[in-house]
Amino acid sequence: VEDERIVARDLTNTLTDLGYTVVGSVATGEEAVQQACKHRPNLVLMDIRLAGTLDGVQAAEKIRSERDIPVIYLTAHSDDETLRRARDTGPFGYLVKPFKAPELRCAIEIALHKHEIDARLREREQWLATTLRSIGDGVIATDAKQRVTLLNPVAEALTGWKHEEALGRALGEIMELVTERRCEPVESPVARALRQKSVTTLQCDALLVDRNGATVPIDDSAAPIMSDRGEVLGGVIVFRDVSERRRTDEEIRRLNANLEHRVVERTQQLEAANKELEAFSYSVAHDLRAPLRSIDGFSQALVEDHAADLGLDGLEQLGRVRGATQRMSQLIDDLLRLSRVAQGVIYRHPVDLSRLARQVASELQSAHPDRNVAVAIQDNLTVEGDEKLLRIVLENLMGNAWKFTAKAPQAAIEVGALEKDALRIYFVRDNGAGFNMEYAHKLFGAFQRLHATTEFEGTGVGLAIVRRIINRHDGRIWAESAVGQGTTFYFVL
Amino acid sequence: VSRKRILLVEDTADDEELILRALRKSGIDVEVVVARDGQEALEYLFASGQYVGRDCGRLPDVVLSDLKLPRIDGLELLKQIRADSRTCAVPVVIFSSSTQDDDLRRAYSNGANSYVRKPVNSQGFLEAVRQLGYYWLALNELPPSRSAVPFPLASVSLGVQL
Repeated sequence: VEDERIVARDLTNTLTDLGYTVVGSVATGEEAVQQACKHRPNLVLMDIRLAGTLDGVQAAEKIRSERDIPVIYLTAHSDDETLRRARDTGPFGYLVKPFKAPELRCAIEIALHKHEIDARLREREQWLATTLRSIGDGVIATDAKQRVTLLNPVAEALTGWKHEEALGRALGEIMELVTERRCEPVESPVARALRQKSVTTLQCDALLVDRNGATVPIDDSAAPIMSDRGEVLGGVIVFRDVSERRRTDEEIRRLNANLEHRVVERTQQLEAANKELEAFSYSVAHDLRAPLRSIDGFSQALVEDHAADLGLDGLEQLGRVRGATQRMSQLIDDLLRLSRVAQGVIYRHPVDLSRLARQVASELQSAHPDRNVAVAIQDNLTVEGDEKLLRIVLENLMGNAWKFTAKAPQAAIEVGALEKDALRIYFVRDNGAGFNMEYAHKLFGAFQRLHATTEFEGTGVGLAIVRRIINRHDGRIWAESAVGQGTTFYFVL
Repeated sequence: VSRKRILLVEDTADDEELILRALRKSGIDVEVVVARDGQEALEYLFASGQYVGRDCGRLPDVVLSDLKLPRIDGLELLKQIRADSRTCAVPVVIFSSSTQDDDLRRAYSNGANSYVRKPVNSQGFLEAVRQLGYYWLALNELPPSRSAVPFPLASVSLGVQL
């Protein structure tokens, strides 16, 4: 911008020679503003004294307010007043005419460089300001004397102070902290951070008292802001409202307490139910047997005292009555055993299954002296378990084997173990009647029978007891069988 | 020698008759006093209530008691018999349907001399009663003069711990 035509032409030539492009050369301030806005040059060289209503300083001001374009003043005037006015418009250079081409070039390059740095700095500030504004925590920055220099919107909301109002005030005034329990004043973490020159946090649960006297629990950390030389420039405190977290914590505590209470309650209910069940089995044991005893006893009395009146037919019918009472008595006994197995404590010790099996076999033999069964028992079958209960397992499995081989020409029972997939599997095998595997799922259910009572006796409770015992040892039991091919029961403990 | 005497504590009329019948069939000559519950049994033993005036120096040779009884049950009866110096040496046999471990344990820890389960089967029942009668009335010897047995000595013989 130069109102003396010759000077303007010279300058244009010099600039072109220096490798710059001159997008316009104008003589007045108005034109300068208009052209600058239109061409958006990297730089404006501005004479101060111009023809027209705007002088160079006013034109530069207008350009600066509309576009971020750096301006270098070129003027013959270097009086204090002009210099002051020019300085206030934030120019990027000031060249006093006359000047030589290298001076011009130097001024232009410095101005361009400075402008670029300025732009980057502004961007960075923008970025920081946006970050601080959008952060979810309250942020307050102070100078070295703890006077507030910045309050982000969250800090504004929490303290009740506006950024503008808070500026320059003592931090303690904006951010009053008291202890949660006794409402005693708490030293600001910033003060400590400044003193210790390190990051600090609140050492207790503190409440922030806002401008209206309302309190909110907060959690915070503070850090000193240091210069490269280690001087404390100020401090920054970052804090957040923890009332929601407190509520959640409280809720979790409440739920936990409630849960514990419910566990206790349920346990009591369960214990009560167990007691009731015990009382029930007791009644079954005691009260159901008495009438059976009467039925059997008086049937027998009839046989003894009135045999002649009854006749053969009557006696036979009475025999059936008595048979039924015996079966019912057996059912009651089995039921009781089943319920006892389900409840008792498991005592785990090393148990010699081979020895138990031999005992069971000899008991079976003496109970049925007429039977001729080949029993083979593998030696050293040792397991960890409850001896009393494992004996019941063998009694039932071997008892079944004994029973179902009654019709086999050469009855054989084998008790042993085999290894499969690093698992020790025990088995009780017979060559008896067997069963159809289609019904295997019914095998271990209480009162389930796979054979007619007329064919093989039993209440159908034995295997239910066996499975319960194995389950209570955290084990597993299964069977393999085929009609007429015998049955093998396998179990792992 | 006076006739042997059983104090039978039994609330079920059928069981009472079956027991009496079994004794008769076994040819055991015995006087059976029947009490319907523990209360009646105590009245008999201590000559109170309906038995006021009875010579209570004459104790039964054995008390055969059910466990589950109205008013005072078998276990409580047992405790009271053992707690009194006049009766603490009387043999008490529990004759019950129950096979619960707890019942057995409690009976013995309170000083029962024996515990026999009532068989449901009539042959078994007859056999049980026959053997009980034979053992407690014929084989078993009682202390010479029971009322003379000092209490502490008697209590020593009771300390059956299971």
